[in-house]
Amino acid sequence: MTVYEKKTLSLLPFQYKKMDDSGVLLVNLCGEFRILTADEFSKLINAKYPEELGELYYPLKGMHIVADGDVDLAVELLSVKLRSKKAYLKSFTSLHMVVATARCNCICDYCQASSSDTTAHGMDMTPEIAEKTVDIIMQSPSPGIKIEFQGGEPTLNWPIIELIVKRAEEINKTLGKDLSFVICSNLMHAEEKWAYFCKEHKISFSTSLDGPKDCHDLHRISRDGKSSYDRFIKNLEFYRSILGPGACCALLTITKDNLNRLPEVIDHYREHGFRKIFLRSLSPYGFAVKNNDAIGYDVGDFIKAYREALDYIISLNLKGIYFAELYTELLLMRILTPFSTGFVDLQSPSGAGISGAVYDFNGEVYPADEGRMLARMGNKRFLMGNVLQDSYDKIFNGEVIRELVRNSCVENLSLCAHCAYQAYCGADPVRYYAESGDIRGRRPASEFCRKNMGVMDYIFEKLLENNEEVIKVFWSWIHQEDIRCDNCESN
Amino acid sequence: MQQKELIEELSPGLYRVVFSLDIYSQEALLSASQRLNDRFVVKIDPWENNSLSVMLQGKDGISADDAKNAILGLINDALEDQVRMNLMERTGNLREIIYRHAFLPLEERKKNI
Repeated sequence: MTVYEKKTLSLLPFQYKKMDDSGVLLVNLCGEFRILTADEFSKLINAKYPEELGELYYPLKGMHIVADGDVDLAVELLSVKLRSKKAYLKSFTSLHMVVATARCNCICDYCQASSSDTTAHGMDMTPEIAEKTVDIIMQSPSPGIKIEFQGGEPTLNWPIIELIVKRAEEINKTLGKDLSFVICSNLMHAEEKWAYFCKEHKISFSTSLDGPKDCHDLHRISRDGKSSYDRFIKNLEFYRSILGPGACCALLTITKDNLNRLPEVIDHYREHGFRKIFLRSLSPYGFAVKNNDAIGYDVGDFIKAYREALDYIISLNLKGIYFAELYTELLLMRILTPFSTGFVDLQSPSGAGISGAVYDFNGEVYPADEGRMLARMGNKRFLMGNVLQDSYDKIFNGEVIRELVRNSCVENLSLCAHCAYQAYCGADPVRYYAESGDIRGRRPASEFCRKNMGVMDYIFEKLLENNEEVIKVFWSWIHQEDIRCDNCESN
Repeated sequence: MQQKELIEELSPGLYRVVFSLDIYSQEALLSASQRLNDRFVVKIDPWENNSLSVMLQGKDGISADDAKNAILGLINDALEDQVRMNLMERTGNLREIIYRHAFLPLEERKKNI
C-alpha cells in the first residue's frame, strides 16, 4: 500500500479543455499535456491532499500540475522549462525580409503585396537604400541572420540582390554571424549567371506552387498572358540541376478552387520532388481582400479540407512515403518536445519586429510583411522607421515594436489567457488589426483564432487516438526523417 | 418549458439570462459573454438580488433555434469560466513567480537560487 505524508496539495498553473469524447485535456505552462476523465478532473480540482488523487498523483506531480508541501522545486523546474520553450526571444530579430522591388511579372488575384507592373521602375530599391538596409540588418544582435528577398518579384531587380549579398558577406567577415539568404521567386524567369551566383553564395529559393497546371495558372496569372506554370516547372528543374534537389521549397496558397483538391495538390508536390507542403490559407491583405468573394472560403471549410488533407498525408507516410505538412510539424514540435520553436506568425509575444522585419523598396521598415501590405493599402500604422534617416535603435527600440510586444502575449490576451492551446499558439497583432481594427483582436470573430483552434483540435484528436503508427509518423516529421514500418511500400 | 426557466425572451430576437453574483464572478460572466459578441449584441447590467442581467440581441442571420442554443451554451460557458477563474485565483501567484523566474537574467537567477 502506498503511504503518503499528510501534506496539503498545491495546484500549479495549467489550462484545460473539455474534448468531445476523450475527456479533459490538461496542459501545463510549458505545453506538457495529459488527458483526464471528467471524474479525474473533478477529483483534481477538489482534492486537498495527495492521497485523494490516488494513482493519478505521481503522473500529475511529474508534469507539474500538482505539488505537495514545498512547491519550490516545481517552480524552479517549470521556470527552466518555460525559459527553454521561450528561447526564441533571446536572439532578437533574425529574419530580415528585403523587398528588392514591388514590380512583378505576375498579377495573382490573391497577391497580398498588391504588386506593381513590370515597368514601374520607381518601385525598385536603389543601391543607396540597399546599402543602408544591409547596414541596419547587420546591427541586429541575433547570432543568425537570414536575409529573404521578396517582392513583387525580387529577381526583376537582380543587381540589388547581388549588392546586398556581397555587402552583407563583407560586413559579416568581422561579425561571424550565421548568415544565410533566400530568394522568394515565382520562378517565371531564370538565368544561368543567377544560378551560379546563388550556388557560390549558398542562396536557396522559396517559391510558390498551387497544384496542377490548371490550379496554378488560374490564380498565378502572368502579365504576358502565357502559362506561369510551364515556366515555373522548367525553371524549377533548371535551378535544381545547378543548386541541388533541396535548393527550392514551395508554398501553397489555398483558394476555393484548390481547397477541395488538396490530395491532388499533394500528389503534384510529390511528383515534383517536394517532401513537404504548407497548407496555407489566404491572408486578409492586398488583392486577396478585394477578390475575397471570388477566391475566399469560410474557415470551417478550410478546417474540413485541412483534416482530409492531413489524413491523406498520414496515409502516404504509413505506406512508407515520407511527406510532411509544415504547420502540423511546427505544432507537433511544440506539443511533443521541450524545444523552442519560433515562428514569426505564431509565437507569444508575436514575432513581428522582434523575430522578423521587412524592409520595403523605399527604405521603410515594418514589423511584418503584413504591415508592409497594409501600407500598400494606404495604412502606415506599423511603420517602424526608414533606413535612410533612422538609426537601428530608433527603428527596433521604438514605440511600434514596443506596442506590438505589449499587446501580443497570449498569456494575457482576453480568451487566450484561459485557452488550453495557449502554450502552442501565438498572436498576430498586425493580422488582428487588419481583421478587426484592434491589435489585440476580437477573438470570437477572429479567423486566425478559429483556424488555429480547428487545426489544434484535429492534431489533438489524432494524438489522443494514440495510434502507434500515426504517432511514429508524427515523430518522423519532428526528426525530419523517414519512418520504416512493416508495411512500407518502399522497404 | 425547461428553456424558459433559463432564458427569458423579452421580444422576438431579444433574450435575457440572469446570473447570481453569489455564485458567478463578474469576470467569468464577461469572459463567457464575450464569446458571443460575434453573433450577438451583448449588454450586461446589474440586476436585482445581487445578480447580473445579460441581454442578447441576435445579429443578422441568427435563427431563433441557433440563438437559444448559443445562449444555453453561454450558461455552461459561465460555469466553465468560473472554474477557470477559481483555478486562476489558486494558481495565479505561482504563475507570476514562474514567469518572473523564467525571464530573470541568469546572474539574478543564480542569486535567487
